[in-house]
Amino acid sequence: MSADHTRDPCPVVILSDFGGAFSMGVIGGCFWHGIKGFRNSPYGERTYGSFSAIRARAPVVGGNFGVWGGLFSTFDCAVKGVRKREDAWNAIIAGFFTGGSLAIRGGWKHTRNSAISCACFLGIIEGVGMMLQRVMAQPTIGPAFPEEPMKA
Amino acid sequence: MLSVVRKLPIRAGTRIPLTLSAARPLLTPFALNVRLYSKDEKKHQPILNDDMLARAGVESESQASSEEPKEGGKDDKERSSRRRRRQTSKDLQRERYANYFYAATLFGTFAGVGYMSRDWDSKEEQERLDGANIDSGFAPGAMYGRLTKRLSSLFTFFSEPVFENLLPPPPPEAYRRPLTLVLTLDDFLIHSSWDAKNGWRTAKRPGLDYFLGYLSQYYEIVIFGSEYQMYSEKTVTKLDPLRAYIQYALYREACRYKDGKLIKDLSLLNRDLGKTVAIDVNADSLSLNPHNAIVLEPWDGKPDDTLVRLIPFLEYLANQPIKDVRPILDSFDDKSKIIDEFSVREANLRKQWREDNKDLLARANKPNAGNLMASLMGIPVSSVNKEPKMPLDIIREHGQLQYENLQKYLKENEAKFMEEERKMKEEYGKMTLNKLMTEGIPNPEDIAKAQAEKAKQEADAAK
Repeated sequence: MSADHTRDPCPVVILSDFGGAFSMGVIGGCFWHGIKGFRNSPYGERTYGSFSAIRARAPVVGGNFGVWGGLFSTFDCAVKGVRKREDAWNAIIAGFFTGGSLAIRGGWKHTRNSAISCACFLGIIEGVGMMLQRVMAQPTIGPAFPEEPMKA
Repeated sequence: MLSVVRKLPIRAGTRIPLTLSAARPLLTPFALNVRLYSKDEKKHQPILNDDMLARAGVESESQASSEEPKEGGKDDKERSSRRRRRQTSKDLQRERYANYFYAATLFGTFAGVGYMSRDWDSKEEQERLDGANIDSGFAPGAMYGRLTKRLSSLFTFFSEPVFENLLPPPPPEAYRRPLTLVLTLDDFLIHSSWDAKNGWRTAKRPGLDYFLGYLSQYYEIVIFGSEYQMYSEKTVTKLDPLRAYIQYALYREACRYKDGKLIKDLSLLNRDLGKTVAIDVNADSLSLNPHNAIVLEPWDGKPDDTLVRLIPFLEYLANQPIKDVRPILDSFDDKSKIIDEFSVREANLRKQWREDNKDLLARANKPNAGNLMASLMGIPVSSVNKEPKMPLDIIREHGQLQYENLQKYLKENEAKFMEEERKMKEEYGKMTLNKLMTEGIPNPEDIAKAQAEKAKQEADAAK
C-alpha cells in the first residue's frame, strides 16, 4: 500500500490523475493561447482575440493533457498490479506504453519511436527525482552528550 | 502560373562554358565534373522542383502522369516511388538527421560498452565492485564480466543505502541503554487505510504510547520504516512529539533495494548486532539478519493487544546479563509466535520458582519472632515478613515506577520542551532563498555543533 497520502490508492487515482492533468492543461493552455491570441490579434481587438483563443483552444490542451495523464495513470496502476513492486521502473514502463498507445495511429515506426522516447523521458524524470532524494537525505545526528557523565 | 514558372529555367550548364574557357586540362577531376554537368546540359532544370510545387498544391506533369492507373505488380512499385517523391525536402532533412542520430547512438553504445569493459582502474575498484575473480585483460569472458559488474554498479547506486553508517556511534557508556530495538513503522506501529468518504487515515496501534514509553527505559528505540522519509517523517514526529522515546528514525532511503525486495541491513546500523533486536512485519526486509529478527504478522487496523503483550519478553531480554541476544531469539521455534511461546516459558519459570522457594512462601505472612520484634519496635509488619517476590515481578515493578516517573517528568516539562522545539525550528526552519542559494542546506552536523555550543554557553552562564 502506497504511503504517499497525498494520492489516492490505485483504481481511484486514475480519475484524480485525469482531472489533475486536465486542469493543469487548461491552466497552461490559458496562458499559452492567451498570449498567442493576444499577439496574433490586430490592435484594438487584442483582449478579445486573446479570450477567444483561450475559449477555443485551452480546453483542447486540457483534454490532451488529461488523456495523457489518465492513460499514464492507468498503465501505472496496471504495471504495479502485475509487478507487485514499487520502484522507478513502474513509471518508465507505464511511460513506454502511454507513448506507444497515443502514437499507435501513426504507424508502427511512429509508435515505437514515441514509446521509447516517452520511456526515456520518464526515466530521466525518475532518475533526477531519485538523485535529488539521495542528495537531500541527511545523516542522522545523535544528541550531543556532555563530556562528563552526570554523577548520580 | 505553371507555364510562367516553366519558362524561367536555369540551365545547369550555362555557366559552365565560362569555367571551361579557362581551359585547364591538367585538373582532371574538375574536367570530369564539367563533363558530368555538360552531359545533361540540354535537360532544363526548373527552379521550382516537384517538391515545392506539390507543397503549393500544384500537380506537376510527372506526378500527373504517374497517377494514371497501371496494371499488375507494377502498381505497387509505382505507388511506393510516388510516395518517396512526395517527401518534401524537410522530410528528407529530418530523415537524414534521424539517421545521424541513430548512427551516433550506435557508435555511442559501442564506445560505452568498450569503455565499460576496460581493465580495472585499480585494486580498490575491483574490490568495490565485487569482481575479485575477474582478471584484467582482453579475454572476452573477463571483458564481459567487468562490463556487467560496472553496469550493475550504475544501478546499485540508486538501490544502496545513502550512508555507510546509518546511525551515529553509540552514546557514551553512562548514557547507553542495554539494547537497541529496531521497529518498523507501517503495519506494525501504525496502519493507514483509505476509503472514499474519509480518504487516507492512519491509526495508532493500541498500546503504542505505553509500548514506546515503557521500553524506552531499556532500549534505544530506532524506527526503521519502509517508506520514504518525505511520507513518514511527520508520522514519527507525531508518535513522539517530545522526542523522549524514539532515539532515531530511518526510512526507505536507508534501505537496500534488491530484486524487488526492500532490505534493511542491520549491520549498517553502527551498533553491536549482539545487542540489537529488530521487529518487522515483512520477512524479506530483515533477510540479511535473520538471527536478530522477530517477524510478526502485519497489523490490519483491528483492535489487538500485541504491543502490550510484547513488553514482557522485551523487558525480560533487556534485563538479562547477556552478551548476545541472537541465541536467545533463535531458541524460539517460531518467532512469529514469540509472544505465546514466551508466556508459556514465563509460566514455567514461575512454577519452577514457586517450587524452589516453597518454604519462603510458606513462611510468609505468618507470625514469627521477627514479626513480633518489628511490631514492638514500631516498624510496619508488612515490610519485614511479606511474601517474597519473583525477580521478574521486581523488575516489572521497578520498570513501572520508572515509567511513571518519566511520565511525570515529561508532563511537567512538556511546555518547556515544546518551546525549545519551536525555537529550534524557528532558528533553522527559516530558510530564505538567498541563504539557500549562497550557503546551501544547513548541515545537520552544523546544527548539532551550534546546539552544543549554545548549551555550553548556557552552562557557563549558570556557573
